[in-house]
Amino acid sequence: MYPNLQVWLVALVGLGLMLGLVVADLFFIRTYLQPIGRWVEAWARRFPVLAFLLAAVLGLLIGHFYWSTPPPCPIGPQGQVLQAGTDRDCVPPRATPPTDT
Amino acid sequence: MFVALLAIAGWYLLQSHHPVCNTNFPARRGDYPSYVFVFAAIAAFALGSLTSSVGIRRDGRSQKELGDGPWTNRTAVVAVNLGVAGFLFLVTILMLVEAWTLGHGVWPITYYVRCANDAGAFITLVGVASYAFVIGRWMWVFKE
Repeated sequence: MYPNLQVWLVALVGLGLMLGLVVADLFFIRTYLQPIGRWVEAWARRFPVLAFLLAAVLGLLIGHFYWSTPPPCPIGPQGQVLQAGTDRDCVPPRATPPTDT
Repeated sequence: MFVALLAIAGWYLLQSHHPVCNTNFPARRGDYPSYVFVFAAIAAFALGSLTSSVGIRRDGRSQKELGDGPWTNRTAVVAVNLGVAGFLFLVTILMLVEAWTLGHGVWPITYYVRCANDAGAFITLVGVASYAFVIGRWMWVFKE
């Protein structure tokens, strides 16, 4: 099954949240005369530890999703290095030096 | 801009007659290496805080806490607290979904995010930088 629909859902949640903030901004400007960002800034000044934790959660998520250390490339049955089309940033394993015999 | 990006992504993903990434295991990186996302997020976070403090200084805005000074409207205070609680609730639900899928041999959300990155690295980068910018602008603030 194609993962396209689920990828679309990921985009919808990710970018949709930002759109939701834009709508909330319009609502706050009309109702409370200040954009939502200034209210959230005041919230962050009131609860600095929670603000730090919230920022840390977002940083953790970004790191989890996008920061990958290159894994070693898989090795084929004949000992050849496979790219396999899955890990574009995989690194070939280092050749082991011959043992002194 | 986000509407346009969503429309482009939706058109591309839903019209496509082939999978947008490897269906066995999505690539760990798309067109840009990992460090582009990491440094873009850090830069956007710092830029968000910088623009916020410049704006506060330029406009001479109040830097009082929620509940003090101009930030005392009761319904607005409740709405902001509810919004933060709602965001944390959403993150908790998504993490539970991630844990459940990992335990049942189904693709976790992480794989779909990687797949999205593989399919549209630029849109993904814009999304990441936007989140980091907003969080930096709102959360990295200082008291008077």
